[in-house]
Amino acid sequence: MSPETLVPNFLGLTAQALSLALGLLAVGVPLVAWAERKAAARIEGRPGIGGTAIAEISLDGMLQPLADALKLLSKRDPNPPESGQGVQVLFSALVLSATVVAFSAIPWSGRYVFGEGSLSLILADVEMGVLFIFALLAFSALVTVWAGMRGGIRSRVGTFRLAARSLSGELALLLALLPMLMIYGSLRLGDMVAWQDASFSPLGAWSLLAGGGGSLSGLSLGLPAWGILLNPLAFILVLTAASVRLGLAPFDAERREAELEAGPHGSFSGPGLGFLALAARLELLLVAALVTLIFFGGWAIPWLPQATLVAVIGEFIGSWLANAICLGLHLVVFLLKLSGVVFLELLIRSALPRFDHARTMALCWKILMPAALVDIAFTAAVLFRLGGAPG
Amino acid sequence: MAESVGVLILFALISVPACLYLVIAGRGAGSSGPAREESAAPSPAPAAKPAPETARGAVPGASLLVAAIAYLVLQAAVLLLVPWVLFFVELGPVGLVSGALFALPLLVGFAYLWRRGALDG
Repeated sequence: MSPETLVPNFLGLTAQALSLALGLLAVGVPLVAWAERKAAARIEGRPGIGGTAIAEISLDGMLQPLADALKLLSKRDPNPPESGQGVQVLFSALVLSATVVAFSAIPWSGRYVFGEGSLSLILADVEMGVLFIFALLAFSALVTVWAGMRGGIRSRVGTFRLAARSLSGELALLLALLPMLMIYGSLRLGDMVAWQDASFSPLGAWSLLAGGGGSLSGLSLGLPAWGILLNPLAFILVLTAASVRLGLAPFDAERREAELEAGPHGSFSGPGLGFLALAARLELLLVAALVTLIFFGGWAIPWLPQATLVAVIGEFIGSWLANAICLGLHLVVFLLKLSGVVFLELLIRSALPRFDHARTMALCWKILMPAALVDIAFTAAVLFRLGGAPG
Repeated sequence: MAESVGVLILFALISVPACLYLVIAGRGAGSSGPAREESAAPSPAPAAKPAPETARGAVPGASLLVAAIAYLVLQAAVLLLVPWVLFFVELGPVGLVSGALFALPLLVGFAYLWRRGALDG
């Protein structure tokens, strides 16, 4: 191991971390918050936000999240210091930090070769990417439970619901993800996308399954080898289980306003509540990113694998520039797919009424988990028959 | 190495300013404004009825414990399945059979919980 790899580039890593945090908090969250309110208004036939203007610039309500953030951050904590509630708001900082840090294992592009070195838009390419994200989300849920149990009775009832929902959702999510891990054979999200950056022929796979012995690559009808095409059931299960796990609407029974007010967040106000609202928007983005990477091929362009793209562009303008263009293209493609999945989530949230707590739990234990088990058995049988994933 | 350092830097970048902001923003709380006078006189409003523990009655302590234990057992089992699914193809028929044998007691336990009504809300 050379000294260069032993001593990490602190400056470079700090710059990367800073740009990731800024991109998420200053661009991602306001956009998600804006889209959330706009989409809900459009679906419900209301005009929605749009009135907030700073120096007569309204930008169709895009400044509203900024105004909300400024209001929450400038509010004073109403609890007197002797109440001991002051320490509690620090929990919200921990929840926010854990959620942001979970993004460090999310790859935003593939790996591109520039001369001697290579570049990949990922802060921490950890071996166990998916489990790392799960661990951080579990930490954030634990901190929320910790803080919620110190609140009033409504807060505590909400916290009980949150704890039960997170635990059940996590189990269902893990089970629902197992078939995809079986297909990809890796926990690293970047590897999963690299795997999907190819095409497969469903007809070939079926003829093999039926004992016809057709060759996988020999058939002309090819589809992108995206997870959603390989295992559509897993997509539905993972999207639902992840929404349950993170308490995205309509599975947020612990925050029924009429009954529990803000639930586990009931004892937060001002900046603390602002941080929790930020974390909630980031969680929505995180689920969307995971679903995009695992089921929609991440940054992969259908029928145009990275190697082909670089080779074709490289013939005209050289390899260095071709890699740079490819990086930009892939980033744009990933963000487009991500926006699509975010919009799907917003659509689900607006279209479905909030689930009762007992119904959410029943959904987890009686529908998602058995369905995931069936999916695992089916995927195992198919992969075993094919002798590997049809990539 | 570089991975963990990147994660730590990101964590520090977010948590330290956020905590500092909360501490500074909370410092003024309760110190400004007119001092509240503690009055010994009983409030004219009648004492509020204690809120029910949940919307439907008491917090179900025992079933919560059962659910927690069931969750722990199943979670550990599912985590043990992760390495199995990663190397599932290489393991061949032996892997397939041993995976099924591993899952069988869990499935029986899950079916038992279901039949006993532990999963009913």
